[in-house]
Order: sequence, then structure tokens, then C-alpha cells
Amino acid sequence: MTFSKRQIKAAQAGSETSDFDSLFQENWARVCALLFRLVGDWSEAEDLALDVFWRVYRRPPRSNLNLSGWLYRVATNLGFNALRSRRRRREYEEQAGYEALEHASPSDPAEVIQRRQTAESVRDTLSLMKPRSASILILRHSGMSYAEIAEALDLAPGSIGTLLARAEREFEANYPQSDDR
Amino acid sequence: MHIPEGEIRAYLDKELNTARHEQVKTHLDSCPVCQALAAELSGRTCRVDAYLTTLEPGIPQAPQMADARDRLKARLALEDTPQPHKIWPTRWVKPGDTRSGSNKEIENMWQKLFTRKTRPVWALLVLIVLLTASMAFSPVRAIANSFLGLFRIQHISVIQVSPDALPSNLGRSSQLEAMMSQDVKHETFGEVQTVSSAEEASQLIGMPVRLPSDLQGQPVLQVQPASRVTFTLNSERIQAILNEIGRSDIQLPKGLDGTVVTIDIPAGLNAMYGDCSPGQGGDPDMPQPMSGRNCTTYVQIASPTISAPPGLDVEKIGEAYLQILGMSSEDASHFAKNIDWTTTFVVPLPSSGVDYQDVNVDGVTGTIVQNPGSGSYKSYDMLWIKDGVVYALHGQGVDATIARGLQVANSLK
Repeated sequence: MTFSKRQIKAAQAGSETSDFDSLFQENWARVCALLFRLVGDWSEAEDLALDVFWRVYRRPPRSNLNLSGWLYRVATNLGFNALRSRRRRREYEEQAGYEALEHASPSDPAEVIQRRQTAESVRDTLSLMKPRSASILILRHSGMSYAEIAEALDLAPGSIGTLLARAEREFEANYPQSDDR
Repeated sequence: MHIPEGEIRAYLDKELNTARHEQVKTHLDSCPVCQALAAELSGRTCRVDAYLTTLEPGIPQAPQMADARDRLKARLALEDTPQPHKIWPTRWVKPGDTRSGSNKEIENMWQKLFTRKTRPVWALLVLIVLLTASMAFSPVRAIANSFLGLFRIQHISVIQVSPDALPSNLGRSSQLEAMMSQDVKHETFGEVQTVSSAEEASQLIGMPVRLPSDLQGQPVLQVQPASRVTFTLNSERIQAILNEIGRSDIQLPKGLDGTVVTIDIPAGLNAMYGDCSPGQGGDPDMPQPMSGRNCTTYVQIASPTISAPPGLDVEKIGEAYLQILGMSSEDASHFAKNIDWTTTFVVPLPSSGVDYQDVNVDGVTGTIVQNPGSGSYKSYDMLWIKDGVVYALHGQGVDATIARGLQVANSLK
């Protein structure tokens, strides 16, 4: 679904059943899930997601750009900024780890810890990669099509395959254990 | 003719149109080179996917859409509500609108309202920026981010803050958001300029630029424009924020309402060495961390001044600030009495995961924070003040240790 700046303005003017509402309803869960992947904590992901929609509402794209693409661009920007704040993220992950342990069956705490450590390394690796490469990987893994990724990152759809392959190579090169494989 | 890598990847992802998909398939059937490349790409995708899968929630939790919608609506509605506590006339220059010709009017207005007495009131600066940053981040994160961002001060005192003691809902406070959008004005006098020499930078920032001689390569030199933050205190709103975060017990000084505090931040130098690529970009409101693997950023700026009306109870405000950071009222009162709030910036650092220490640097005492790294990757933040100039250094990379930071800082010429 494509929204224009004019439509956003109309929504801001007070249209009850606005396009913005539709945008919110259709994308809220997906934006939250995307941000969860980056920050590893639901409440932070929801706070960030709320900020994403607030920003899109207050500052729609300057031209008639595809609004959902803009939405995911803002989401990845905020998400990666949050990801790079390592100190904060670690606290959340520690907390998330404790919560996961509390909810896990007693037989698999080692697995939970291992998974958490791997997730931490994966986020570290993403934060070290070129921003565009990291964004492509996370958007693709969130289930977005090449066309959707191209819209979100303002890239030519035909370039996504090349960039995705390159991003995966970059991920492996940066992942701490990739040399051991 | 072989198929390009990107097209094979798109083929594997079923992202080609039907005709092209068939063409690629036919080619692959007969080309061992492209088959090998497809196998390699496919294998890598599987491995990377396996890693990325670990980011998915282990415990599914449905996002609270209805609640979030209500929060968003409340936030937007609140911002659109006209506020009764406007001190400034409607011709008040909009933030950033420095070319409107209204500055003179503002100055006159200012002179009428207060006998201007310039003095640093760091507690307020800290409070303002803490609250500003909390809009987008949780408090500890905000503090960490602002360490190199806005604060440039005369003395530093570090207190350790337990993240558990911070009000967890500060970042969600709708009253806080309203305060930041309506009571705080931010003006920037010019644009960021990339300059070609230290001499040019010295002219623009009005003092000799010092650069570390112990870093190799040509730095990227940027001059950050001077800026001003004006905060009109609205006691009703501040009280509402305290209520919202569950700290209505915190007492603010009386007679705050309408008090105007301005923070003037001079132009400063930002020098980047090494592989310093900017962050994601695209959002001017967000901090843009450098994301390069081996990057050292050096900042030099004259200490900002804060102007506030005479008689403002700085100690009491400092006490409230400490309480918001989780200190008990007794401890906050004791601490607030024993600190010169007019010259000291109290840096709150989370008590877990961050290692800080006082160090002798550049002939004075400074503070350095070693950030937790990942594997061989490390980073540090260092801050010191000498002769009324604030210096900050941020290093990240495999050799970004405290020792290396000191080496760089002590090589300033």
C-alpha cells in the first residue's frame, strides 16, 4: 500500500478513519518484530516502534515516496541506532536471558544461554557491518521481498540480489567464529 | 556467458520474473561454474539464516497494538493542545529559524524579563538533556549517548546509577514529550562545515585547534555550529512528569514556573581519524554514532555557558535530579550540599557493565569509561576540561583500550 504526503496531511487534519490508521494496523506487528530482532527486548521494541510511527506521522517523506518504505527505513535507522548502544542492549539481554531462563523448562538452561550468546554475537556483527548491508540482511530475514527492501532502503530492486549476497559474505567475514568454520 | 551472482541469488529466492527464472534455470542445468556459485550462495544463506534465526523471540509475545495506538494518539493529541504557560509572544522565533530577524526582539524580551546573570548551572543542563534524550531512549542509554554529545563542562563528578532504580517509564512519559516539544527551543547558528585545515577550524571556532599527533592518517575535520537551547520551566508540567513516573515525592524549588534558562554552546571541532563511517543517517533527530571498526573521534569545544535568573535554587534542582536518578532523598540532599552545582557536571553512569576511572590526562584529571566490547573489539570515552576548554575522545577498534586512549590524549599538540 502506498501513501502520499498529501494523504498523511489529510490524516493529520483529522480524518477519523485515516490512511495512517491503516498503515499502523497493517505494519505495527511487523515493525515490532523487526525491532525485536535488533534490540532483543519486547518492551524496548514496542517503544521504538511507537517512535517510528510518531516520526512518520510528524515528518512524512518530503515527496510522494512510498510511505511504508519510509516507515521501514525509519524503523531500521532507529533499530540500528539502538543496537549500537551496546551498554543498554546488554542490560536488556541479560534481563531477557533471566526471563527466558525463568520460562524455560529446567532441562534446557544451557541451550537458552547458548542461544542468547549467539544472538549477542549476531547483533554485534550486524552493528559492525556497513549500515546498508546490515539493514538488507535484517529486512530480508524479517520476511520482506526484494521490492519491499528496495523501497525501504531507496535502492534499485534489481540490485538487491547482489547486495544481499554481498551482505551475507560481509556477515560471515565479521562474525567472530566464522574463521573456525 | 555466466549468470551474475546477484541474479543467481534472486533466482534462489524466487525473486525473478517467470521468464527470467526459466532462463536462469536452464543455464544452471548446463553450467557447472554457475552451479558451483549457486551452491556456494545457497550454503552461505543457510548459515547466515541460522545465525539470524537466533534473533527471533524465544518466547512469543503478541505486540499490544491497541494499547500502542492509544499511546500514540494520546501523544499526538497532547502535542496539538495549545499550552497556557507561554512566556514568549507568538512572534518567538521558531527553533532553527535564525534568519527571521527576530533575534533582536528576543534579546530585548530577555532583558526585560530578567537581569541577565551568566553563570553555569550544570545541574539544569544535565536535567534538560537527560529529559530530552529520554524521549527516544531509555534513561541510561541517553546518559551514555550524551556523554560525548552535548555536555561540555568545567568539572566532572561521576555517580554510579543502578538501572533498576531509574524510573522505567520516563522514556514513555507523554508529559515529558509535550515538555520537550513545547517548552524547549533549540536553535543552531549555521551548518556543520567540513574544513581542510586546523587553521581554518581554529578561525571558525575562535581558538587554536589542538590535534593528537599520535594518530596516523589525515583526519576529517568538521566544525559544529554554535547552538542555543532555551528552556522555559513549566512547573505544572514538571510536576505532571514526576507524577507520571511515580515520583511525586520529589520536591522541586518553589517559584520555578516561567523561569527561562538558556544554554549557549559555542562552535566546536570534531576530528575523525581512521575508518569512521557515519551511522544510519536519514534522521536528523537521532544521534549518529560512528560505525567504523577502527575509528577515533576527537572533540574540542569551549565550555558552554548557561544563563539563568539570579536566585534560582540550583542545589534543590540538583537534589531532585539525583533523586530521579534513583538516589534516596537523604543521600541526594547530602550529595547536593557538597557539590558546586554551578561548575560541576554530574555524570551518571550505569553501575553495571561500565568501567570508569579518573585518569591524569593532558595535565589535568579526566574521566575515562571503558565500554564493554565484543571479543577483541573495544571502545572507550574520555572527557577532560582544561583552561575552559572541554575535550572529548572516543575510540573504537581492536586496540581501543584505556592505555591507548591516554596515549592519544597526551599527544595533543
